[in-house]
Amino acid sequence: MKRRLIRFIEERADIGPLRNWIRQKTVPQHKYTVWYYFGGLALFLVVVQIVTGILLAFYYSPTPSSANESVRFIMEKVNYGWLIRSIHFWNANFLIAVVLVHMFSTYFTKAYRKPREAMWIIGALTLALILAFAFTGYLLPWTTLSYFATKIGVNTPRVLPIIGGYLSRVLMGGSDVGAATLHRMFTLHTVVLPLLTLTLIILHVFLGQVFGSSVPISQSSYDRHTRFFPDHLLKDAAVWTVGLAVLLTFATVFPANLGSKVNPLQPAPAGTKPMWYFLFMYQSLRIYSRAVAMGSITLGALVWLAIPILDRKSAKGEKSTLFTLFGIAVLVYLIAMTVFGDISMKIH
Amino acid sequence: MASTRRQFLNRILAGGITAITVYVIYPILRFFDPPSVTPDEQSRIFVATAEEMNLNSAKFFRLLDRAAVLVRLPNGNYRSLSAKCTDLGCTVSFRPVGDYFHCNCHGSEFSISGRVLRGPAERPLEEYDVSVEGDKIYVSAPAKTV
Repeated sequence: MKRRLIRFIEERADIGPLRNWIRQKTVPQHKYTVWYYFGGLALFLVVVQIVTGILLAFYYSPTPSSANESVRFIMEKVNYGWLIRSIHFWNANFLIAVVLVHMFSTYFTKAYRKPREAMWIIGALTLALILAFAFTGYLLPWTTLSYFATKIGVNTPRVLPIIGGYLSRVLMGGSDVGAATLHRMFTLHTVVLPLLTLTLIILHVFLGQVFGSSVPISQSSYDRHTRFFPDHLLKDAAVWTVGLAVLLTFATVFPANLGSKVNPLQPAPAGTKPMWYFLFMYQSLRIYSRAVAMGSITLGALVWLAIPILDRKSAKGEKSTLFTLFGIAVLVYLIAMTVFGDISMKIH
Repeated sequence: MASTRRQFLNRILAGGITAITVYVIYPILRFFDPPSVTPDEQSRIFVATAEEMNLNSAKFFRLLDRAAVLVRLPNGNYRSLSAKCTDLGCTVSFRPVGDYFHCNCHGSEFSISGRVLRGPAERPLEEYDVSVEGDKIYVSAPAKTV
């Protein structure tokens, strides 16, 4: 059957170059090889998120009067609806965590250095889009918590000069969070962001095939490789299987709940806070003035994007301790602000 | 140095593409910007009857597209304000003990007249006009606020 299928294709298209490329593709082996798996795992989780998202869209209704009810319907009436929504919820969290690990492992192994600068920039932009996915998706169940968290989120850019007010209005679709906001978030979440994200992911993966896996500077003297197909791919598949098992465990043991439908006239409940991946931003906004916090975060994001251009030592294959320390400082800041934000909200 | 015919044409082409791009993108960016709500007769609305409003109590209601609050003060007078925190837009809660508004999102506090008592909010809550006609209480917002 398999041979007949291959013969069928070969009679119609020259797949020789593709076959050679698959045979010749190798993956470097060294003590940091384990970090390679996170890129593949992120890609796998993206696929899971797309599949579960498409399934949810079959029942979801993006209006203030029906959004919360439609999610409740999915969870209580639709066959396996609770499981699909739960997987979508947990997978969003795992995806962000895995992409963060992928990004920081790329940073600390200096895999962004020449010739992979574009891969780094595209990857960082993809993370921004994934966070935008999380932000736009959070409002969709139309719960009290998601409503007020979104209010905070869409009003925060106001402090940015020139574009702040415009950005905030565009996100809200009016002067306050309401039906227009819900519709805009749904459109962004299901049409605009998927198109942009898939384009960037395809580019990122394509460049990954062109350049191959980066070898850390300290490991460049080792010249051990393993075949991508089938050896590395099988290990990738094993990681995906473990990832899926962990995901299913969380989705079934801790199923996603649905908060009460929002009444916009009710005061914001105590403890209104964003999801964990936005806590560092939230806490920064609480500690520093709005303008300082937003300005610093925007500037920090631009510097982060430009790291491959700024780190000239790595580009020459030399150790760049300064950038390693910078990365550690960024990581410590993110973790500290996240933990601090969570604790301070509990005390508050 | 004089440019060649090819360089000249390339510049014309680049300029043309840039102009077309701006020509296409500008209306799209403007399209995303929602039109502002113009005030109409709905900017004056019936909120409550005097019977509903006990002394030192508050009623939250919607004035066009935003949350607002009507408070009956201990002296029997009425006051109406925007219930939208001027910090990041959360709906504030009324604290009858102490007569002030508190925002649960970042802890801003406002006096009963809307003045900022505690940050991070910097601007006061907008005040609306209250009119009592017999038993009925109406609130209207000035044109600039809606």
